[in-house]
Amino acid sequence: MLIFSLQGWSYLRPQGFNQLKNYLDLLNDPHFYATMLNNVLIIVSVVPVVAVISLAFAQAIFSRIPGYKIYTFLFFIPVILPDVVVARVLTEILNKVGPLNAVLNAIGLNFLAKDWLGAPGLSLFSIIVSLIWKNIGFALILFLARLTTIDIGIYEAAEIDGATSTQKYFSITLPLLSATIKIYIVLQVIGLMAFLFNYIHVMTAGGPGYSSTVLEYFIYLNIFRLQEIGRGSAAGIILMLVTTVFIYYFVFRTTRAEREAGR
Amino acid sequence: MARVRKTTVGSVFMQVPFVFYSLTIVAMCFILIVTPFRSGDDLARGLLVRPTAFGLGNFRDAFASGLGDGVRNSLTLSILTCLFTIVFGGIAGYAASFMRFRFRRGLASFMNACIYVSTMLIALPLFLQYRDLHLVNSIIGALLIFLGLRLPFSVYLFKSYFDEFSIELIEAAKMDGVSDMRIFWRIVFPLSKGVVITVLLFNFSAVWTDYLIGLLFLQQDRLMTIMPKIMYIFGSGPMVTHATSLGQGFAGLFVATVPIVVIYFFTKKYYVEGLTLGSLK
Repeated sequence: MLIFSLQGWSYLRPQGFNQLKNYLDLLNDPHFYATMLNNVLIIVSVVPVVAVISLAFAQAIFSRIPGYKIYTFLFFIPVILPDVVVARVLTEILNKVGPLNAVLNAIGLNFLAKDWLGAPGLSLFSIIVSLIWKNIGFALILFLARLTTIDIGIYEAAEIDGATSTQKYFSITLPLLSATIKIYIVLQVIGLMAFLFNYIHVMTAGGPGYSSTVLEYFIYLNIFRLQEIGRGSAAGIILMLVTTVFIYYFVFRTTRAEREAGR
Repeated sequence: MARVRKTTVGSVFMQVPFVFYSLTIVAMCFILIVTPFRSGDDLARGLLVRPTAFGLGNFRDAFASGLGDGVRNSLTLSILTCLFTIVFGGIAGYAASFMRFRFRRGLASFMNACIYVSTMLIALPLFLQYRDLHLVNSIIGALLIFLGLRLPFSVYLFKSYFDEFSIELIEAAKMDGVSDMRIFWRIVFPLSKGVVITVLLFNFSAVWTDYLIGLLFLQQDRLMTIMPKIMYIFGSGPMVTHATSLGQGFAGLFVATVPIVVIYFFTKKYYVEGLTLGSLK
């Protein structure tokens, strides 16, 4: 891929090296910046929102709010549904003449009925909301799993010392969850950077224009649609560099855990 | 935590986000389950119009459009991938966990790093090689890609599971002169039911729900896997919606989702184990 990114291309055949021309092309391509910005927007909106919602859900389910069994059952469903299925059904729901707008019109919120996936400013927003919807369950599984391993004795000790439930949450639960939150952020960012193609391709095809293109889709577009192999490969190298940071953290953690376990 | 809670205004208020999120999930499932059984005339008037007729017509049409090919290809690929990843992943996991050789840690870390490398990055180099090797549009070619994509995670799962084993048992067997292959098949593998199910579950659903590899490497009509096939049935372009293809497409989505959901209900415990693995250490 690195070599490809340094070559000129014609009809899927390399035509010799051209130094850094592909990278300069990329830096002069306004679509590339729009794409990177979309990526950043997706990450900074999906990750914190999902984390906060899932933490709240996890805590409530853990303390057995009424109906928690039904909720755990239901909330895992989006996690197991295949990406393409979720994306395709949402495409129908968010359609200009689809059910969401029909409902909004019926309850008198006509001004909220929009062309969710077809309007330049809205398509990215719709994708972000879809991703939040899909990923809550995943974070919830991680947080719940960690919560169930916390020693109840700590809470009992805190109660004897007169701690309020807010104090208990922020002084005990959150610090104990911090490692899990970190690994969630890493996995989620990798997912949002490197495994987003299905949603984009099915829901908006990056459009309208480049308004919902992300880096991964930009690579696909350049290589397999526009035949701009050099530019696509250069973008690929950039995606690789960005994700490597997060992958390194994941590998580093795993190796450290193994060493501590004496393996 | 406290098991009994007083009912207060606060606890009723807390239900609001739960109920809201639940409703969106129920709505999604409702559309996914009911739509394929509705007639084309109804769908032409919108997804929410009160249905006048139910039937299996959409399924019949979808299979006439080649959904069966998609199911067959995806099923073949999923099952073969599962089979090979269990055997090779298990052996590699055993080696990474119990055998002592140079670069063992390095190799294991490298494998772990491979889990999260974007499929898009390897698509172009693979595509060019496959073109030259005439492996595009070949099930064997696609199988090799899926094996490459799924093995790192399989090895990781196996290794994490084997790391919990008592190493003394294995070393004792080695002292008695039992070969590594024998230890693996006679001692370790029979004790690995849990991790085998987890690996099967993740690899089956990953291959079954794959979209990108199928889209790029199996483009011929008869060779398409299920997800690209469904999108093909829906019609080109995400904005194009015809009532007839809509019903057929939803029939496809239904067929694609059912196996995943059924498998999940029988193996939920293993699914959660696989997901949370590594996040708790």
